[in-house]
Amino acid sequence: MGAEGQFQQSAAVKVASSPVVEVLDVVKQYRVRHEKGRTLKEAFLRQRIYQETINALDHVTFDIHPGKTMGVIGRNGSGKSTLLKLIAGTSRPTSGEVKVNGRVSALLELGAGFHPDFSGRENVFLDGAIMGLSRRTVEERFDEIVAFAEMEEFIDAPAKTYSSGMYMRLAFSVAVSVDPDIILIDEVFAVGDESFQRKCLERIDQFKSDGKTIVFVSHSLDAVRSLCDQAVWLDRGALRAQGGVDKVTDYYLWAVNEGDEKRLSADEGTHEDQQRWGTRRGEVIEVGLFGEAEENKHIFDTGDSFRVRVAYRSREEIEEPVIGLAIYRSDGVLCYGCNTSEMDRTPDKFKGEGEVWFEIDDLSLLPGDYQISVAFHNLEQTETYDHHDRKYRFKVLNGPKIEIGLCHLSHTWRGWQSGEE
Amino acid sequence: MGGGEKPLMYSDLKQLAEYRELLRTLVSKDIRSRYKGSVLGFAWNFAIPVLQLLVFWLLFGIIVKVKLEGAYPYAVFLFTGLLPWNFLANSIIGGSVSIVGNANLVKKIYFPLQILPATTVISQFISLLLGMIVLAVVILVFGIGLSGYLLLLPLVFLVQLVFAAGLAYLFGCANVFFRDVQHILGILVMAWMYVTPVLYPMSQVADRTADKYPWATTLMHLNPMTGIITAYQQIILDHQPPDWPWFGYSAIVAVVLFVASFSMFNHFKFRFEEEV
Repeated sequence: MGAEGQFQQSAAVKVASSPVVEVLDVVKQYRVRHEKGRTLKEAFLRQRIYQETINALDHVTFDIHPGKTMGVIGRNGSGKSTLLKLIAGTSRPTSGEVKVNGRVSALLELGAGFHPDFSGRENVFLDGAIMGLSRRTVEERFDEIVAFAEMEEFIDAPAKTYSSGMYMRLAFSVAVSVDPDIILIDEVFAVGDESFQRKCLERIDQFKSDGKTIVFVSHSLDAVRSLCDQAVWLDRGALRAQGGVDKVTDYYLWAVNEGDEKRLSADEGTHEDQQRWGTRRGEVIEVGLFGEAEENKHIFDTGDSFRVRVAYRSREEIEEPVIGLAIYRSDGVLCYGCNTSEMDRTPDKFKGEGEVWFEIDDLSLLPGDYQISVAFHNLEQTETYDHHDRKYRFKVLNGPKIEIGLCHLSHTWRGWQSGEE
Repeated sequence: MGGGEKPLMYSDLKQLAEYRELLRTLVSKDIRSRYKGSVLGFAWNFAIPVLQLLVFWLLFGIIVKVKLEGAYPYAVFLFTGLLPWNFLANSIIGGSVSIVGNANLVKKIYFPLQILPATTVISQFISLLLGMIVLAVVILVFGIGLSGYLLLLPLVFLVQLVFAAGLAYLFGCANVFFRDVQHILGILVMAWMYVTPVLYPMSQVADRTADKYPWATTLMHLNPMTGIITAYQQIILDHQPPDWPWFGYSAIVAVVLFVASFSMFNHFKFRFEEEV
């Protein structure tokens, strides 16, 4: 009896540790055509001219174990959505294999099965059937679905009378009512208002605590960090990194900071993300621009006094913190950058709140629009705590009349009058 | 088409059975959405065949008098052939766009795609059955009467269902890769109707061509729809059994076509997501 129990236990452990999703050396090629909707004539005459193949995924291999939450990061067109489609089963790899053990629910296209002429009630059943729920299951969960969507009042009105927020809320409700083993989420957090978004996140947390496996694709590193234990980074279809979420996102950020993927921050993400990244172990909480005396000044003249105050804090102890500052002209030219490591005394360790001042007595920049980046990182620059990229703006209006260029350089002219004498 | 393909088609058919609940939901959505928002609603399913019959009766019974040998008016003959013909035509044309018209589902949600053409065909088949109810009333009204051969009708339904499904899968798949298909089909289906005894009885073809072209009826029977449509007319109007050899031929063509196009469809379905 005891031995049998032991055997069962070890078998259970073995089952639990075998991956629920296995992606084995997967290649997915797409034929790209210049015009969609192929006709017979094209098929016979122009096929070769118009077709080229791209590798949306290029020899990608990784596993997801049960109960893990896997983040997929990478910029647009890096193959993230293709990967989700392969796991969801709507697409098949060109070569390699995707093994999925369990029921998948994809929160990819919410409300794909909705019909605008039908009532919300009918659509719940229709969408549920498409998501693989039996009619009886939908009946059982119907009240729960409607309550979660906060749609009790409108459930019998035709879906075409719904606002887009209502539509998405109901669709999200149906999607999360499926009782899946594996949940695929592709940035559906733009659903509804803030309180509904919070409910969605709570629901996802509940999935996590229920031991469901989640694959989460997002542009928001913050969201990936807060939700996921593990991450993979796809770069133009290739697997660039995989492992613990901190390791992978740090590496990703490091690559960003190195300028390895310069366009990345410009290409994608929300406005907020695009201008801010970092591990947030230390945070820049406020950046203010000052003149001689006035606060929050944004317009200066060449030669003015120019001061920047950076307030920062750290909730945990961080080593050798450094605050860096860079000034860019609006066309992206880096005018100047430096950091606090040039100060005589910098702390070895830091925890708490503080501020530093960057002061110029005689602003030498010539008229133009400028932006300031502030970075909070460690001395070796191996970890960026918080980077505010070109988030703060100011203008230089009046400068010396005859000077052109980026900035005033101290100079004298000599030799003109001595020529004829 | 060797033994190797058999298990493949088996699993694809089994999947269809496993997802029958989705199939049922989609069919019911298709039927209910067809006349959604109209005042008559579901009653249109009966109103359309009735109005169609009324037009035939006015045109061929009152205005241009067309007489047939049998004991029934031409309008009733026409209606008997046109009901199953419309089922076929709508299945082909609806089936051809069943994949490209559902791009949203095909791209985003995993489910066996063989459900989509099946949905179209079954929903059209239900329309046929509703039309048959109207036909039954008409038959009784015109005093044509019923016969025991009507028990054979389900067999004719089955053969036509298999044949229509075969074509729906064929063109549904082909249209994904060549969008020309959906445009050319309208013309082809119309031409096909003219060589099928829908508008005229097969007996007239035999009478007029027997001397000069004895092979003409054989040629017409090679069209598998000839055997099916005449079976409807013989069973319902003439109280006769179908012309077994030709009906059998139609049944064989239907099964072979279905096996071939269902297999082809399932072979290519994994590429649909990229093409729609």
